[in-house]
Amino acid sequence: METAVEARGRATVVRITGSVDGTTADQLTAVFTHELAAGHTHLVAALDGVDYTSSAGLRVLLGAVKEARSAGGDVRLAAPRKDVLKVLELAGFTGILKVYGDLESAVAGFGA
Amino acid sequence: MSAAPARRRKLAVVIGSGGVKCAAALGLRQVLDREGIPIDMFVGCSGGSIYAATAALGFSPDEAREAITRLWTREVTSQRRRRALLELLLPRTFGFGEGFGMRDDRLVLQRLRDGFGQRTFADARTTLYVAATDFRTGEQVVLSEGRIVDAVRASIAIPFVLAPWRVGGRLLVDGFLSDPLPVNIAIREGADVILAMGFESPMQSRLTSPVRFIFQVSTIMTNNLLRSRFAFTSHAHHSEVIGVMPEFRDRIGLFATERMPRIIEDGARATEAHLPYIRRLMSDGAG
Amino acid sequence: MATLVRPGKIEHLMELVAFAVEAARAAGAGDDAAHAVRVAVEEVCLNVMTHGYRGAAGPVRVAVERRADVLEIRIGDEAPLFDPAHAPRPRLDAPLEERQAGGLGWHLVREVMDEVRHEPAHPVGNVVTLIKRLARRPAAT
Repeated sequence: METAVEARGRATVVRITGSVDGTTADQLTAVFTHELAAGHTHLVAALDGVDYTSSAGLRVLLGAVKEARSAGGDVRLAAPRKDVLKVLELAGFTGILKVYGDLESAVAGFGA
Repeated sequence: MSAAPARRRKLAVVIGSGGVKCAAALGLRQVLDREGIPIDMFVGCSGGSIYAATAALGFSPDEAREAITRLWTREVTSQRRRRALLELLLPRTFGFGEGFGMRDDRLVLQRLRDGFGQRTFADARTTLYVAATDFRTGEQVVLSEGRIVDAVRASIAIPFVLAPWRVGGRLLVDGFLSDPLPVNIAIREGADVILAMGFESPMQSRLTSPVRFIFQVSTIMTNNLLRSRFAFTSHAHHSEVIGVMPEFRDRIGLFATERMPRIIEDGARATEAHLPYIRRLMSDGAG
Repeated sequence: MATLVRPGKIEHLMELVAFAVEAARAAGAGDDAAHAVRVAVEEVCLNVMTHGYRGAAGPVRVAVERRADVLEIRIGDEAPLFDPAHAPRPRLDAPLEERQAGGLGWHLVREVMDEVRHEPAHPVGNVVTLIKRLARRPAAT
């Protein structure tokens, strides 16, 4: 799994590629923690490059979104693939997180 | 922790399904108004949508009580549709379709229009969300624009009783089917402190008729759904979800508007019990 | 029936998962079922490794078998008894986050699988059985 971070408008985009699972979850947590510590609380996780996530990925996400929201921000999801979206739905995450079909909408959602 | 300046926490009130018991929300509002605690967001589901909408539109608790008592009389939901039974027994001959409902909804619509007129979500002074359920997929649908009448009519569309309601190309039914107490909406829309006013349906005391039998099945499923959803959303939220769930001394029928004054008192009392904590949460500005 | 045994350490997690997925596909699982196997087996194995063995040595055995239209995956260990029906693990000293998160994983396993069973193994350990109904095999031509 790889990540790349870039600033986009009001948001910070964390591009994730590969598989988010029990062996890569800690790595992703570190990325989110780093961004949140730097005060980047309006985060977008770009998921179009993620082919798979397990509940480990969900745990990372839940931790990150709670921390972001505590600081008045949010973590929003962009362009999840079919399997990833299915896991998000089964776990009830689509009910508590904003999921967008594409990156532009997700970034725009944070306002100009 | 970061040294960011303290920001004011956003307070949301979620009013779940519960028929006339939702009037307890008026008691909650009275207490918060008295304490000078502003509410930033209202989320309503099923009967709760009527109270959430009146609140968001700026009706005072008294104005809301008066309007709802005047408009929501027993006759509103006793308007039988004579054809309904025929449609059930001979679906093809009598044209059973997705618009099925045992009750004639013309009076419901008229009363909703009397109450809300042409007002839209844009007319709300406070952010408002109304929860319904997509009848085809079972998914929760959040309504936040368009006419209030349409959103409420969809949110209260109890299957079999009232016909489903089409909004924005989707056929919608009562919000309680996807989540009787949609705290998730408040979470997703950025609320911090969430006051969740939910009502468990009472068990049927005697299963002496097919209708009671069906209601019991529905009650069991709804209560279980309420609890599991509440547990999940409580865990998933970064801040507090406070369940303000009044205990009603007697069984209250869905439409017993004469019980309202007592229900409002019960709601106020339930809120008072949580008040010290609510005050602490709202005055401590840290995230 | 195909079986793989590996030490219960995280560096073997992906091997066990990949094995289960390949065996499932060989048994006729389509994309949906294979995805379900991947998610569920990862969760169960990870659980055994982190909460069952807690870093100590111990084997994890994954067995995949198809019977008629049902795919059965059995995951065995020699860790202390843990029944997923009581997840999240009632360890009062575990931080709340951990307990909540544990519940999430098991919920997902139950959602993607048709049945989840647990039995104690003898003399020690657990066997978790995951059942996934498969689409009927097309008739041989």
